Amino acid sequence: MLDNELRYLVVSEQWRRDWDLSTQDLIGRNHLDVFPDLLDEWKDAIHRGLQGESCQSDFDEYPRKSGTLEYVRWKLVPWYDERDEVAGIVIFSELITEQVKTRKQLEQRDAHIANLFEYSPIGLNLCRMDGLWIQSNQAFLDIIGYNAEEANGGLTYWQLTPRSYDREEERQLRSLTETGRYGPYEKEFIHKDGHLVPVRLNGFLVNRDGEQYIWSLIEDITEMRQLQEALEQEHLQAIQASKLATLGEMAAGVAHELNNPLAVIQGFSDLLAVRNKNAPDAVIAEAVSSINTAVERSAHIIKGLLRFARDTSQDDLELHSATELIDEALSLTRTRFENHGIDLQIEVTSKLEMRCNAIGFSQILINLLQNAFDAIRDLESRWLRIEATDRENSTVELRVIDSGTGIDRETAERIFNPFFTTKDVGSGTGLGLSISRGIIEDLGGSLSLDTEAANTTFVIRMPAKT
Amino acid sequence: MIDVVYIDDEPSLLRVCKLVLESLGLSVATFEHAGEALEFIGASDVGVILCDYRMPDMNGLDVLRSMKVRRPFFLVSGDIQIEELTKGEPGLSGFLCKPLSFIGIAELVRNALNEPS
Repeated sequence: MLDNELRYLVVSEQWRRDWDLSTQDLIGRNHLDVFPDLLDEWKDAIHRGLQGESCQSDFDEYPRKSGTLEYVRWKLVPWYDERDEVAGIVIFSELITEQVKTRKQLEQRDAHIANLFEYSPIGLNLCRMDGLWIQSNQAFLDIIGYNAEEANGGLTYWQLTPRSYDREEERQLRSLTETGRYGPYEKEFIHKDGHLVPVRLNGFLVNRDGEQYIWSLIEDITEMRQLQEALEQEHLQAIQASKLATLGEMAAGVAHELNNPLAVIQGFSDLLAVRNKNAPDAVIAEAVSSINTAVERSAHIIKGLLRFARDTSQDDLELHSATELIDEALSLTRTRFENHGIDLQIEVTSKLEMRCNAIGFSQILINLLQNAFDAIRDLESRWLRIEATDRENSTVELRVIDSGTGIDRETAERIFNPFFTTKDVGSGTGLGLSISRGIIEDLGGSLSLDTEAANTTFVIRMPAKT
Repeated sequence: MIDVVYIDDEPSLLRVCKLVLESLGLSVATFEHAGEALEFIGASDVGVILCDYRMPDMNGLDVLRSMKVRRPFFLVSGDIQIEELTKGEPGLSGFLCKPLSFIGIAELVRNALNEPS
């Protein structure tokens, strides 16, 4: 409380403490002497106060001479003597420096967190317990392909989750309710354009205003998966190569063992033929001819087996006739097809040639034929058609079509993945198609599934010339 | 003179070879062991030699390389890769793939015998 000459009349202990004036005797001293660094607007307020006006401010920055910065909330009112004239002013001040600093720190931290949230390379997302998305950062929106408006409040977790994960989702949800956390959990989201994005999730429960929510951290693991698959593919091809080498050695041994008894059979058939020359017996002549045919066929199969088992990765690429390649592959499989009443149709439109190594190529064709055989052997309608046609860009297209009704979408997406198999445990390795694709690509061609065709159709494209 | 010497570790094959070629009028000596055959070839007048490639004590190429005299020499094998493996070997007249037609072999032997060596 000051008189109209701005001399201290009364001062509170709080004032002394706040302004660090505890040791000084203030009574009678001039306010402007006590605070020589008073702000101009405050001097102005004092002047107006002496005119009878009240002033106040909730927030003023007050740089002290000492270099510190204080924040002040204040109020100034005039007081009157018995003649109702302004006798002086009363100043109330509150030092709010600490509060302001705390608030500033909080603001800074909020901005910091907002930045982290928005620019995090990991997808972050808050969702309600029913799955409705509330808040998503850019990384997460990039993963699912929707914008913030579409996602937040408009989409649910479940809309973008393939049904095949239902059971695993249940497990994760149980973990969330029991432990407050879930993950790490690998699954897929359905992107806006329909493709599946592999992701890894981690999350935890949070409480906001009494309601529970789930915070999730979402990593896009597409690249990691691709890398993994490429490595696996390489590994598998190495295994396959060493398997083929082993098989090749075995086949050579078996061929040797079989060729000797076959040679004995052929020899005695020759002897019969020689002995039958002078007084020919028709039955014996027929026996000789049948034995010869059977020996020839067996020998052909053994040769095919030997060739099939050879490691061909170092072989040179040469031009081969499509008809011969198909015949070669059929020599090992034809009998099985015929024995199961499967109708074989070969349609080669013209004299086609393709550039490949013959054995590597027939390995793949045999694998496809074998798959087709397994797929249709128990069907009512059993047929297999191989079509070879000329395509633009010096490409030969070979279609292996069987009487099966095609492969469902979900299976089709994974059919070229290593270890994917629909066969019973033990009967398929799940390696055939993935390795076949690898070999074909090494030969400069491609192997795919025609999902548009009515019947199950695999398509091989090979360069006709280089 | 013996027209054909046949070396193979499969006795029934030796037997049938002898039966067929002899009934076609060729004289045949057969051996299960390469060592005995080499001794025989060194000591006798031999027309054509047929020799199995894969045998327990030595392979067909070893037999050819161990021969002191030059006679028409044919390798016999069930493994077609052997043909590629032995191509260009000096003294090797040809490769016969098992299972063999002995009637065809008889013809081959006659041709070889008629050629001035």
